[in-house]
Amino acid sequence: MMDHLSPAEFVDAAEGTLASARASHAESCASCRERLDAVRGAMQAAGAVDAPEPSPLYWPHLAARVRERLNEETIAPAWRAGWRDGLAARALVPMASALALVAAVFVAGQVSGRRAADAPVATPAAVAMAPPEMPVDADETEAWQVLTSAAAEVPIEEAHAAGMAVPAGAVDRAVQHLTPAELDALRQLLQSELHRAGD
Amino acid sequence: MLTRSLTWAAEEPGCKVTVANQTDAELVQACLAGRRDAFDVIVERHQRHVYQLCYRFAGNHEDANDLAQDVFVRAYRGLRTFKGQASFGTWLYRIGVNVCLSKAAGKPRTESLEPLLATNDERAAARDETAVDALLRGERAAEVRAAIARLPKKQRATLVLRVYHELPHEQIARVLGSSVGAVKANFFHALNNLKKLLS
Repeated sequence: MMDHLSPAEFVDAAEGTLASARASHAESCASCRERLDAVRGAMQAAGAVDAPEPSPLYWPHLAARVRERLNEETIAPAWRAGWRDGLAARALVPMASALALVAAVFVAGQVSGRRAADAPVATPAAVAMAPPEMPVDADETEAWQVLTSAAAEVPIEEAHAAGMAVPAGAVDRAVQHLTPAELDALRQLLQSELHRAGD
Repeated sequence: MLTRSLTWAAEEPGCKVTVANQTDAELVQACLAGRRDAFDVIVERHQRHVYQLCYRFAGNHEDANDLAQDVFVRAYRGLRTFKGQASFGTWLYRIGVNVCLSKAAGKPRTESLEPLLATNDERAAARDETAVDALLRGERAAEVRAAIARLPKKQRATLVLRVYHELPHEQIARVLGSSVGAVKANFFHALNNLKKLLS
């Protein structure tokens, strides 16, 4: 007995492009025939529904709206397109690390700001994470400036489309790439926050 | 279609080109050479297909209008990434499907009254029907549109491109970035699911 039709063959049969040997099976096999009728029925039902045709006045309106929106646009230069297409994925982990650090610095800043109002004592975490005390390499700074400048030009919508958003688990993975000193600073920051929450 | 002409420096300064005879690829080159108005021609050429695609995903005119604009804006931003390996239409469909799938996914689908309104074809058919027949036909169309809206993303995209845009399976595969076999399988499952949803 011949095999039943595969999904692709059902589509070919419904569209009349199935090889004759297989088509004859579809005719003789009750099971395949029943499924084929269902596929044809669904195809017919879908095909019977048309999309409404907008008013002829709509088309100039659409073109005008697009033109309006494009007046503020420039075509992405090749390097940026290449950066988006190729480098975005490779930049993701360092960017996630950077985001985690930026978030940590921000929280530390908030904490130290609040602490400053309460008592003139900086938290260990704030001291550890304060930007002036972070070792900064000149080349890294330049690279960071290029990266942030490029990122600043990318609309958030494009950044998401290019896969630059931080996906679930990325921060966890970024933490795994922190140096011992960074991990220690992060640990102190978290402990400080936990301690503060318990006050 | 378009009868007006415009000129631009395509590759050599002073090169005079008539837009009406230009291919999409040539128009893209003109856009990249700084002729914003060449993109107007692209919009005029493709707006109907893009709008219809968006309408199939959105189910109402307002959202379809927004999506269609987004598709063209996204296409303009990425013109430099169009390498001409696929046809411009395929490239635009790909952007359209991506925009529709990403935007439609983040937004609860609003089943407006629009699907209940008769399309031109439905109205024409209704002239030969009784009022009751016309009503049933309209209701059935709304049911089919609602069922299509409930299909999984890729199945919906495949069904829309195949049934309403009549793209060959090979072109759908290029648009969706999958194989012909996968497209046919998706189409088969889409039709099966549609049948179940309608029964």
